[in-house]
Amino acid sequence: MTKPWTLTALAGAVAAAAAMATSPVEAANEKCFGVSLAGDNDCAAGPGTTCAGTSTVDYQGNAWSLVPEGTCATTELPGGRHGATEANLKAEGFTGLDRDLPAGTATTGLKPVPEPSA
Amino acid sequence: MTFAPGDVPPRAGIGFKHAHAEALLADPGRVGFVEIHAENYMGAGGPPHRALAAVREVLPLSLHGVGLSIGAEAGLDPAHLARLVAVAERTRPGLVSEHLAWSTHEGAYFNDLLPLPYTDRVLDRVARHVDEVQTALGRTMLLENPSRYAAFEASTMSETAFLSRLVAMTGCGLILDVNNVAVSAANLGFAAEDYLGAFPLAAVGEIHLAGHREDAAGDLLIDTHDGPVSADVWSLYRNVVETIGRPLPTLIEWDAAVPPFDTLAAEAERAEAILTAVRAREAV
Amino acid sequence: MAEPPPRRAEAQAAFAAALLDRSQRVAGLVDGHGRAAPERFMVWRNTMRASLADALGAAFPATRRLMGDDYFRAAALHYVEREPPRSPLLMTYGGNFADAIARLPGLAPYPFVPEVARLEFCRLTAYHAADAAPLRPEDLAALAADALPTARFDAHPAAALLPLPAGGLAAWQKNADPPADPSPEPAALVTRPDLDVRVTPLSAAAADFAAPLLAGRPLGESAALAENADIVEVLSVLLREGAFCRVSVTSPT
Repeated sequence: MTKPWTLTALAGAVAAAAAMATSPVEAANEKCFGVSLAGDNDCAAGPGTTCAGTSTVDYQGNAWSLVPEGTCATTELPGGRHGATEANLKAEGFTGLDRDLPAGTATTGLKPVPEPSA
Repeated sequence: MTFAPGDVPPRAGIGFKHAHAEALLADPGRVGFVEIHAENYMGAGGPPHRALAAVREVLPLSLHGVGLSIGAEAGLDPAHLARLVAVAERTRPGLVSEHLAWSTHEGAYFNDLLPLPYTDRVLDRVARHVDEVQTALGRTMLLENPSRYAAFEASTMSETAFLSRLVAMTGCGLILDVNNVAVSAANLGFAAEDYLGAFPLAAVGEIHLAGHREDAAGDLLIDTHDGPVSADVWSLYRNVVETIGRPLPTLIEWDAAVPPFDTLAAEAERAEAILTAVRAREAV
Repeated sequence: MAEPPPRRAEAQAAFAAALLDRSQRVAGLVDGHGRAAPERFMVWRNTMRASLADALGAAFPATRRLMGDDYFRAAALHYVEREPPRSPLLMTYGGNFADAIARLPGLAPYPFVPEVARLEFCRLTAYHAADAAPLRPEDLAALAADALPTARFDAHPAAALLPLPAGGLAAWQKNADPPADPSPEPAALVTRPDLDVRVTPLSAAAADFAAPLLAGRPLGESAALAENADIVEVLSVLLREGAFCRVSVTSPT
């Protein structure tokens, strides 16, 4: 279904839009050089190109066995979307999605997911 | 040989951080120059370019690459070399430098300066790559001594011998990173003074100073760039500048846990005082 | 069965493989006295892993806040191992991090989290995009009325339209620094008319009209396809936010 536009209507719409819009540069209330995206750190603009080393301490953690501990659970979204997918999964008897798992991960309770097409 | 330092004066400088742009522009005389990591300005545009252009109006620039992988077994990435040339053309740096290290393999980039064994074969390869970069840039470049955490059993010469021969083969200059010398000396059990005694000091075009840390696990020093320069590095620095007998552009590197501009500028002023003393002696 | 001996550290293929795979070892590293020191390899491996995970943390701050530091770090490290950067330009790293975390079982109940990551990467891309003067409203007003249906816009280099149907826009707004009031809209327009990256909520209908325009389809055709969009409103938003940098028309013959 398409809605045809007459020339006059389109011209009127464009003229109205142009009249309504302020110029983008005028509208922008800029700081001198913009803020760097991630705060007071070279990483912000980069992020993080550095010549520095860290240490021999190993960093671990299995992303497959963890759950969010951040603001996920408390972030209420307009329209009550939050939790709907969890409910859907639970209704189907699954606890997660079975896709791209490291070898040896137990897949009980994970919903099989088809490979994304290349 | 002598290395012409271009328009970077033999003063103390700092790594330029976007967050410091306003403070730096309000008082640019506190530092002699700024240095940037070339890769952070290889985007197409935006705030990083704008801020750097403003700083470049009032201060000399040293361009320091961290991603060219000059020691890579495979050839240099022509696309990345072209990007480095483009940044150099845009920012007109007084000095251009890179590292004696590798960081890419088969297209993967490891974001770290990885070590090389010091052999004739590696020397030939690095010399070939330095030639290629100098030809593309149309100028001499500086190469920096790395921080070392282990040595290669396969090495057949010392790092200072390797660097001396590289300078002779390519005509390149060197960045002497005094902190890297202190870190390597502690980790490999040699005396920093002996290393500096064997270093081709006539080729040094710039000095780097930075902070390091002890590894949590114990016996290694790690080149973390996240704090003030240590007392032993200040002392090595003073001695080496006196040995060289002339002031050299000296960079304070502080890339992680970056302090306010004032703290960084104060650290640079400490280096400046040492340079001023050498300059005064030179004038006598 | 005996394990094969570790490969030599001076071979960069072996060194690189051991950086990415924690089960691999290399031989040939020694301390200052010539004694074997294989454990010292860990400094390089950890620096690579930690610095790239930090880079992702800096690029995806709201995603990190939503997931929590430990979970985010574990996800980032897994991504680093499987998909190390393909370019020394770290500003380009993380382009498919959103897809990678979308596969995590722990995030299955929170489909808005990968959307937040997509939006954060889009903002980073806009931040580093080429500079260009945005199209001014008067440039559009100056076009001949009979040529308007053929008008095609060039999207500004920083402009992008992102569908965020699972509430990613609101989740980002609530977890941004500083936080903003959440919008219920299912799409976002990302622009950078000068230095500040801007995120503008769009309704589904508005996105249906904006998408073909940003893709360079003619105005007449785009307007005809946009059944429910208030095209005056959407066009004015696109102009105000700097979504275009040029307009051209085909002269009627």
